Amino acid sequence: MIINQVEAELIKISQHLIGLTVEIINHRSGGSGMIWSTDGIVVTNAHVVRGSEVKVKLEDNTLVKGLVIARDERRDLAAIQTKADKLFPSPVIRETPLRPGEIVFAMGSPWGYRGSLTTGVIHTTHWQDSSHKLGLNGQNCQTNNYPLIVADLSLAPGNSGGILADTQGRVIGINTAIVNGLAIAIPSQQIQDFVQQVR
Amino acid sequence: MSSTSNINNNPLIAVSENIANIVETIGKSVVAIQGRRFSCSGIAWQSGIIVTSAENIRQEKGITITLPDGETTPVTLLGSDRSTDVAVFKLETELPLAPIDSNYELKVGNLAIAVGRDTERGLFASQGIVSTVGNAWRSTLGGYIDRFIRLDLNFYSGSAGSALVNAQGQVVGFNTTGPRRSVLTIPAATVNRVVQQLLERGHIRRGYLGLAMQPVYLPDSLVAEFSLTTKQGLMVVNVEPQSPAADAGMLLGDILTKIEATPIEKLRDIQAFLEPQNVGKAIAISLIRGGKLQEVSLTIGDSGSRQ
Repeated sequence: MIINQVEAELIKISQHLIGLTVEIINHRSGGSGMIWSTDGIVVTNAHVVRGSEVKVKLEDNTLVKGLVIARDERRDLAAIQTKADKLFPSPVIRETPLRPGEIVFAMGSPWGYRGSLTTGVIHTTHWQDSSHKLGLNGQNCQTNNYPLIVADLSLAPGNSGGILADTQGRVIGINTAIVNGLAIAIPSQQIQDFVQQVR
Repeated sequence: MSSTSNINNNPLIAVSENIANIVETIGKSVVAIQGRRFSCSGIAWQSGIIVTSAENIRQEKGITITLPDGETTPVTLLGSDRSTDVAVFKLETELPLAPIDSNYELKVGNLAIAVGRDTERGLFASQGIVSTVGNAWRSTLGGYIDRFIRLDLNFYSGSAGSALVNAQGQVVGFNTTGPRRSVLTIPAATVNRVVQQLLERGHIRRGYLGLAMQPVYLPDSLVAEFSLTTKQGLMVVNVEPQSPAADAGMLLGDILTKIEATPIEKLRDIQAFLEPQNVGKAIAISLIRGGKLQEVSLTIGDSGSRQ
């Protein structure tokens, strides 16, 4: 049955995404992060990391030290350099445009539950009013003048900094906020620009 | 697991693309409706006719529509029926009509794809599942709705009036909210009926009596004396002048116990008699007046032509 094949694909995607997801542990707050490159760069939201040093929990529960090497409050992005023994997996970035209705996945630690997958669809690709105050983890941030991804998808505090992916497991963006019940993510293109500036 | 894996026979990718295609196609027939204090979605239902949820229409004049191409144009409200939640607008611009299937029998577990439009967010989609499918029901205002359809679907601002689309890509109704934030769908069959009536008569016909009533308990002695099947009736507390009830000679204090063969206990029991097709029909009302059981004949009026 097709439903079994769909299920098998869902399991594959979740396993793939779990491997790319880390948990960021701070003094008082925390969130999710995504492995960005094999050389140990982890990307998360600026509002997830407060200090200059964080603990990063990998998929196999090992804790590694992470140095916050850059943060952009306006775009709500932060880059963390980690040192781990093994080589990190490398995510594939989605290049083609999104379409309303296509299925997407969020992986992260909502309410601290690690490795949680939620599914939904792209809500709209037409978001123009980005003057909303975005709130996640009790923080407010502004992402004026940057296009945002809007998904019909359940996020919770702790999802911040986690991956938004498509049906092929490609990274679409980074889950950042909940606005009027909608999931808001920063597109991969902006993360790419941000990391390039850092390097 | 990456873009290099075989994507041609991956059913998940196929499902995702199907939904996106459906949203794109239906989106060409879905508009955003904007008033001063509300915004909702509308569907190009027939040539020049936009259908939406009446609950959200807070004004009659100065309403604009944002078309799929982004153009904004003023529209005229042809009429709305709060009882079925159907509102109908006249649109001068021609749009591709939504493919409507009013015979499709939804099942619990069917995919529910909602397609709407918002002036800010543009075309938008949400996806859930058909959660409850029940028989025909009557809204609190007495409207006859062909199926009870409840969705497990996220509802956002502007989602009212959005199209419920099935996996075949057919519009089977529009979405609205019910009690306790539930998401309900008004089926296409109900919409068709209301739209047709509105275009034929210029207004939505509802039966009209001209009575205000309140449920009362009847003394056991009266129940026994008249061999009534119920212990409750409806007491008349107001009769509108020049109304069908006034013409039938109904008086304050009359207690209705039966209409035709139907025992009357609650106001809801009357609603079935106020269906549009009953306008102009004479009904036999059994009532208690001055301790005696009487029968009165009343010709149901039209709420739309009421003075």
